Amino acid sequence: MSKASYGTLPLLAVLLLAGCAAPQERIILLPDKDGHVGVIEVRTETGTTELTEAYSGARFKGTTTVIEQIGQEEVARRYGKVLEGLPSRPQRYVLNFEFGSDRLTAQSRTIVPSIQNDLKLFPAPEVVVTGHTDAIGDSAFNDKLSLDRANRVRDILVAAGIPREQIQTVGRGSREPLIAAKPDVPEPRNRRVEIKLR
Amino acid sequence: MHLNPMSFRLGRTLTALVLCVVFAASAVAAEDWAGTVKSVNGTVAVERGGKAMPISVGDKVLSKDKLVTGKDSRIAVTLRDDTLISTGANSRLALNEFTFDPATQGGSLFVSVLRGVTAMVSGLVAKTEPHAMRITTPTATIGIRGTEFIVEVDGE
Repeated sequence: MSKASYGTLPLLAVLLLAGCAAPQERIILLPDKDGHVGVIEVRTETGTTELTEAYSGARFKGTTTVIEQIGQEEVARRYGKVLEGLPSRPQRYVLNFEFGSDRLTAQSRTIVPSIQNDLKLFPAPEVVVTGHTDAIGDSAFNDKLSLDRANRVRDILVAAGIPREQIQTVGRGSREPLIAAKPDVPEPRNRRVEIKLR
Repeated sequence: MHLNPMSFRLGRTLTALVLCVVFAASAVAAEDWAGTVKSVNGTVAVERGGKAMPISVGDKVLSKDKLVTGKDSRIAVTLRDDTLISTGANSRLALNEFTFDPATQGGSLFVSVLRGVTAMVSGLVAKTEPHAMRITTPTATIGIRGTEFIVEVDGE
């Protein structure tokens, strides 16, 4: 039995007594786009509850907390508009460089026009260009190198016609390797730039 | 040593100029805005420093801003850490605190749903540090671990 449904029976009784009056406050856990379900911890004066199941909710009325399964249809009916209103999820691309150069690989060069096209789908578009390094060298060096890579890609995007003021560059150094590698072992696949549209 | 007054003045001017450039650069580099408005429908205002002002698509949202929507209105915002926010009609949402370092992806997000309904998709801040994202309602404190959710608070 999962944590969310623990103790559902006595709470159900409270729910029936309370009738179907509009909730005073309500939290509902939703599944992510990919189906993964996170955890919500709800703390009130009277205690702490965890929601772990998709479409489960916690309602508070006075000092009473009710845990309930709301169901996908009820969520769509009651909250469809506000859910449709959520901004588009960020879209991501990875660009690689030819070994030891600041020249994009042929494959990465073909991505640039599709980035320009996809960017039109976002209102008030933002482009976040994040440079990454492998684990060779100290962190200060890698922070700078990764920012240089991001700036290089920004220049390519600007040359392709994306307004410079829409672009932010970030140097993330070696903090986020794509491929796990031991320190001081070269890993070319980790030398990359990620582009995020949102 | 003899100091040429002309070169002295030039030196001072140059120093002032360099300082100006340094300050201008740091003002741009420090991204102190929290998010960008992605859509607005109906009557929406932002309360900033005790004053209500109109807000529209492309405007920046700042830490400590309050978003206020009227009847049949809504607003959508994407924060710098990719947190997505959609606030529905007759609502009041306070962005009490937002900090985010894009290099480390660490930061903090503290939001109060004061009235109405808000849907959120958590972003990098909640992913990087489990307790860095916190939502409050008049009754509850909600901790978020990497997820999507709705918070509703009935109006008076």
